Parts: sequence; structure tokens; C-alpha cells
Amino acid sequence: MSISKMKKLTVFAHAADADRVVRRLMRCRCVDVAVPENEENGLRLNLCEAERAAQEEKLSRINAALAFLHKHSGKAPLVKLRQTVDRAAFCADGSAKEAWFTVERVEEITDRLAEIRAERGRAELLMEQLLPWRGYDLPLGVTGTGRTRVVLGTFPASADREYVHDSLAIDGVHCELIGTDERVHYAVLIFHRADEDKLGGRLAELGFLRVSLKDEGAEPAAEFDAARRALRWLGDEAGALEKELNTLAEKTPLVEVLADIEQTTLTAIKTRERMARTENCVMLTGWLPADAEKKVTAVLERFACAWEITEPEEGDDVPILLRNNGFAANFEWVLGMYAYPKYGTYDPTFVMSIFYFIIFGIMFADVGYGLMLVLGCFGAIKLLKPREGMKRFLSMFGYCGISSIVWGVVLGSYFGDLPKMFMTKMLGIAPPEKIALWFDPIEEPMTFLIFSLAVGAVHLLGGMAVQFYLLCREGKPLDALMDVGSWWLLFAGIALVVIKPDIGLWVLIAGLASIILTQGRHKKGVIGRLFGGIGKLYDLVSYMSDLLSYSRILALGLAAAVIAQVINILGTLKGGTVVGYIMFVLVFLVGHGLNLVINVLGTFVHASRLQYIEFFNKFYVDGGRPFKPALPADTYTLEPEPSAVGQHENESI
Amino acid sequence: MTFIDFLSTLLTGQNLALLGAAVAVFVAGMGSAKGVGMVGEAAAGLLTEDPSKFGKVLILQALPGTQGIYGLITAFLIVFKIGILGDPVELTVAQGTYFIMAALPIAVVGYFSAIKQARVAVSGVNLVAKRPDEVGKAITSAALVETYAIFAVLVSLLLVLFAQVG
Repeated sequence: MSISKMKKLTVFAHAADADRVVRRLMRCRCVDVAVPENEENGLRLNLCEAERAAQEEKLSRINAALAFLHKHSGKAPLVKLRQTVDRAAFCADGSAKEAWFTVERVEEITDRLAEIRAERGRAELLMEQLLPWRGYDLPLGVTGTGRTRVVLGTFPASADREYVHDSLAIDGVHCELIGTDERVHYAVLIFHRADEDKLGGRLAELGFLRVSLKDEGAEPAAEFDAARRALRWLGDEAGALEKELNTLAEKTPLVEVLADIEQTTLTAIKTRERMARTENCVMLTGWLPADAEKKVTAVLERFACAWEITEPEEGDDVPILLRNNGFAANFEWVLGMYAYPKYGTYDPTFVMSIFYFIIFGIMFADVGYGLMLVLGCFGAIKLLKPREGMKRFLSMFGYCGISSIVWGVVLGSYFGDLPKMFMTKMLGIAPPEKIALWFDPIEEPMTFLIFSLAVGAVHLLGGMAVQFYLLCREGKPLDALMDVGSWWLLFAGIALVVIKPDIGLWVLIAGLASIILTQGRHKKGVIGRLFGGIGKLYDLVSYMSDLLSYSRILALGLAAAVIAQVINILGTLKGGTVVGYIMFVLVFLVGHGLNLVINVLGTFVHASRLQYIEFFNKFYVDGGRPFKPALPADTYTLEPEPSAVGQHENESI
Repeated sequence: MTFIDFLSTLLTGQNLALLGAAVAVFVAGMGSAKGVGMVGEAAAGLLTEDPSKFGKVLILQALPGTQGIYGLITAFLIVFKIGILGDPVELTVAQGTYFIMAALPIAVVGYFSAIKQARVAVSGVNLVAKRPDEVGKAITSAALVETYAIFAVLVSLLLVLFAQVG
């Protein structure tokens, strides 16, 4: 209903207390710590870059380990509820140490696994190289004697073995062919060292290519076996490590708590960096909702610090916290997608939520789809216990589903025309003449169009009423009467001309006159005012275009209904046979599922647009920044309410 | 049968009405396909940097797809109206032509608005890349373009629904 009143908090604390003060304020969940202006009183910012870098590294280690653990904890459960964990107790009872040990062990294992992967790659490569040389019986370390050279290499497979052997023998080379595959002959050449230079050309002629294996170690066969053994050991070791990871995965919950704790610490450090400091003191400035004052002072009283809570001053960048009832609060994020209101102006969430609820329902009027929305959204909230933001998102669509059901009954849509089609095609009985409580949009599109525009008119008049109210609240009732009242007079005139032309004409003229006479009042001179007023009449065009914009209610409503009809025709094509029923179920699930998704998106976008463009432009003052208090992390676990923590209150968690 | 006779057998009211349905689907559908493709390309560029923004850009990518759906709806209504799926209605050539006329608004406006909307959505993807929290504004800007496709489909639908046939 309103924008929460904010107060400015200034705390002076001993530098040694800074961390504890920040953490306790974070636990209050209601202080938005502002970045001080640098020049303010020549104070410098309390930068803790080294500490932050260290903390960020710690956190990235934990998150990397967590990623491995999650990969190894088997199939992730579909529904994961966050447990409430007392973090102080967690640190006190050694669980934190155990979690750290787990992280370190996971790091060791993953490092070792990476090494093993590299070693296995090397061993496999070596085996591949040695494979054709297994028949070679000199140790690899032997490259010759004092006089002779031993050289390994290949000849192309096309070369004749006998020819190679014999022609090299003439040159004084002992050539031993170890083996042959489809590409090359593998050969060992032994020759006198003195011949090496002159042999080069001869060997090249024969297509000889030197092969360099590793130049130390035992015979190739033995080396090959050793590599194979090593490969097996490495495989065993990797298997054992993987198994250990699977066992460690049982400790994942502990590491998750640790991740939250360390993330909280990082937030605390970042919050501390927003403080200003002197040699021994830190100064924190921030914002809190006025009604949280007691809670915050109770916390601050525990510390030797000075604080001041004041009203915001002109020009302060006050963050916006919206306060709404249980229904309207779910629509705050729709407002947030547009822009938050300026501090001290009007929060339209409640009025908007009512119009949103109704318009969404008319655009997407269908009992079946509405029911699916209600069950899906509220079911997900019940089962998944999502975070506050997600919960509101789902609740909004759940409530809109209720509206869809209501309008679905009024306009007679149950998964489109499913009852009618099902009765005629599958059961072979005549459907009732009229299912709709009021009218069927496809039968009477004109009625629906007029109804859509009427809803639009109410919405627009609602926006103007808010404008009227706001002007009165600002103490400008005359402006309200002139800016809003004169238009209403004109609208009433237009409506009356249709119904009762004799009176209507005069009301219309009065409306026109009041607009011409009042709307130019900010201009100078009689002529200027008159032309200002006449110029303002041009706004009539924008009112008309705003109104016509509501015809999208009809278009989107028909879109959903016609597609549903098509799905029903396809589904009931085979009639009431067994095959027919199987086909019906399949087409029903896929078709209506798809139609629901497409149309929820379209309806959401256009229902929002009608609020943003047509409704808000009548009165809305935007430009506020949302209230974002520094909070303890709750990615994996929830923290108990501060009162439940009891004696741990002062510990630095 | 002369060639002219052959042509005149093709030129029935039914066939002309079907041509209207076809035009509504394929022209608007081409626009949507092009538009969704454009946004998809931009989105893929963003997703290589940050896959977690998929949900946000998916909505932007889906927006230019609606024109194709509007074309489809118009086509279905024409098909219902001329009873192709049940008992075909006898149509004169003039009545058949009426359905082509009725299909034109969503076909033409659908095609162009889908592409223009896609260009806004592509800019929206760039906006989301830099400021993910502002996705709402990107969606709203793109949705503004859609207004004209909605007006077009409205006219097409009303023309088809009020057609005097059979």
C-alpha cells in the first residue's frame, strides 16, 4: 500500500569492532549500507583489498570443490529443501573443520586425478610408440658403442626388404628389420661411427626416417609392459580416488553450510568496504525502515559505539522498500520490472494488482488453464519451498490463475470448447446450447470487444482517479479538479451524447470549455492560455489510443481460445474408440501444455504493458532504487531466526 | 478443356478463401521466423559469455514469434468458417476474395512488425548483457511494437468472424 518510511543510520564504531557490528547488522536483515561520498569530511574508505581477495579465493576453492561433490553425489533430487543450520554451532562443534578438511581432500583428489589423466596420456602415447619395436632386444639406452652407432628408423613399406638389407650390407651397415605394418618397415641400423656422414645420402635415397624413442631405459618389450602396468595402476588409483569422492560426497551438506558461511563473510567484508574510516574508528552510513529502528538499536547497544538515526534529508538517495498486503505484495516485482517509485511518492502496487488480476483473467479466461496455473504455482510453493522472490513470482501467477478460472466460467471456456467437442465427438451426445454464464467470445466477438474497451475505460479512469487523489494529497484540490475533473466532464459529455443527446450536448460543451479555459493556465497572457487550452484538447487523441490499446484483451483472449479449439478438434478426430482416446490424451497433454505456456507469456507481457503504459502514465513518478539490505548468504541453508540462536549471539558468525 | 476452362475450375470461392488462410500463415510466419532467428543469434552471442541468462533472453526471443501465431489463428478461423474440416460451404468467387482481403492485415503487418520487434529485442539482448536486472524494460519496449500486430489480427479476426457465408 505504501512506500516504507526510511531512516538514515550513522554508526561510529571502534575499528576493531567493525566486523562484528557489520555481521550483527546483516543478521537484522534490514540495513542497506550506503556507499559514502568520498570527499565527505576528508574521510577515506575502509578498503580491505587483501582480505577480500583472500576471502574470494577461499570461496572459489569451496565452490570448485562443491561442483565436484555435486557431480559425484549421484542424481540430484528434484526437490531440494534448504535446512536450517545454526552457523555458530556449526563452527563450534568442529563441523566447519570437517567441511574444510573435505574441501582440501577434494582438492587433493581432483589435483591428483588431473595428474593421473596426464600420466595416463603419456603412458598410452609411449605404448603406442613402442608397440612395433617390441621385437627389438637392445635396451633403449644403448645408442652405440665406442665405434658403432645404433639408429632406429623406418623404411617405407613399398621398399623391398631384401633389397634394403642387401644394399645396406654393401655399405657396411648391419640392418635388422624388426617388423612391418601397412605403412612402414621398422628397422635397426648398426654401423661404424666414421660412416655416419657419408651414409646420410644413401639412407635418404632408401626413404629412411629416423625414429626417436625415449633415449634411456630397458628393452622396448620391457618398457612396453612397464607402461602397461603403470596404466593399470593409474587406472586403479583413479578408481579408488573416484570412489573416495563418492564417499566424500556424503559430506556435501557440510561443505554447503561452509560455502554459505564464507559467502556471508565475503558480504561482510564488502559491506565493511563501504565504511569510511580514520585511524581507529569506522563510520557506517545506511538506511533502515523506520519500524526496524528498535531492532537495530538493540543490536547496536551491545557494542561500544555511537549511533544516530535521523530522518532523510532533501537530496538523499533513499532506497525504496514497498509494503503491501499478502495479495498485492506478490505483484511488487511487476512494478520492479518497470521502475520503483521515487521516495515520498505513491506506491501503486495495490491498485495495480487488482487491475492486473482482473485483466489477466479476462485475457486468459479459461477454467482449465487457470486451474493448471493455480495447481502448478501454489503446488510448487508448497513442495519446493522456494526463496521469497520466487515465491512471490509463483504466487502472482497462482492468483492470476484464480482470476482465469472465474472469467473462464463467465465466458464459458474449459480448455477452450473441450466440453462441447468431447460430448459430440467422443461421447456422441448433444452438448448444452450455452456453456458460458454470460457470452462466448468466439460467437460474439463484438460484445467481447466492447467489454474489453469498457474494462480499459475503467482502468484509465482508475488511473486518473489516482492522479486526482494524489493532487488532493499534495494540497492541490483545485488542480485536481481542473486537470482531471475537466476531462471527466468531457468523457461524461461524450457518453451522454450517445444516450441522451439533449443533456449530453451541454455537458460535452461544458467539458470542452473547462479544458480550453483551465489547461493553459500555466502559460503567460490570455492568448497563450487560450491556445494552451486548445492544444491540450489534442490529448483526446492519446486517450483514444490508450483506450483502443485495450482491444488486445480481445485479441489475446481469442488467440488462446482459437488455438485451444484447434487442439480439441485434432484430439477428438478419431472419435470415442480406444485409439481415439489414446490420441485424445496425447494431443491434450502436448497441445494444451504448449498453448498454456505460449499464452501465459503473452498475457503476462501484455497485462504488464497495459499497467506500464496506459495506467502509470497518468500519475506515476518513478526513479527510486530498491532497498537492498546486506544479508547473510542462504544459497544452501537457512539461518535460524536471531532469537533462536541464544547464547551464540555475540560470536562472530 | 481449354486452358481458360482449367483456370476457371481452379478459381473457386473455396480455393480463394484457402489462399487467404495460406497467406495469413506464411507471410506472418516468415516474419516471425526471421524475427525469432535474429533474436536467437544475438542471444547465442550473449549465452557464450553467460549461459545463466538463458531464461531472460528466451522471453525476448519468443516475443517476435507471436505474429506467426496470429497468422495461424486467422488461418484456422477461415478454415472453420468455410467448413473445410466438416461440411464445406459453397462460396462465390467474391466471397472467397473477401477472405483474402481479411487475411491481408495480419499477413502484411505481421511480417513487418515481427522483424521490427525483433530488432528491438536484439537491442534488448544487448541491454540484458550489460544490465540483467533491466530485462523488464527490454521486454516492454519490444512488446510496444507488438501493439500493431495485435490491431492487425483484431481486424483480420473480426472480418473473418463476421463473414456472411453459407
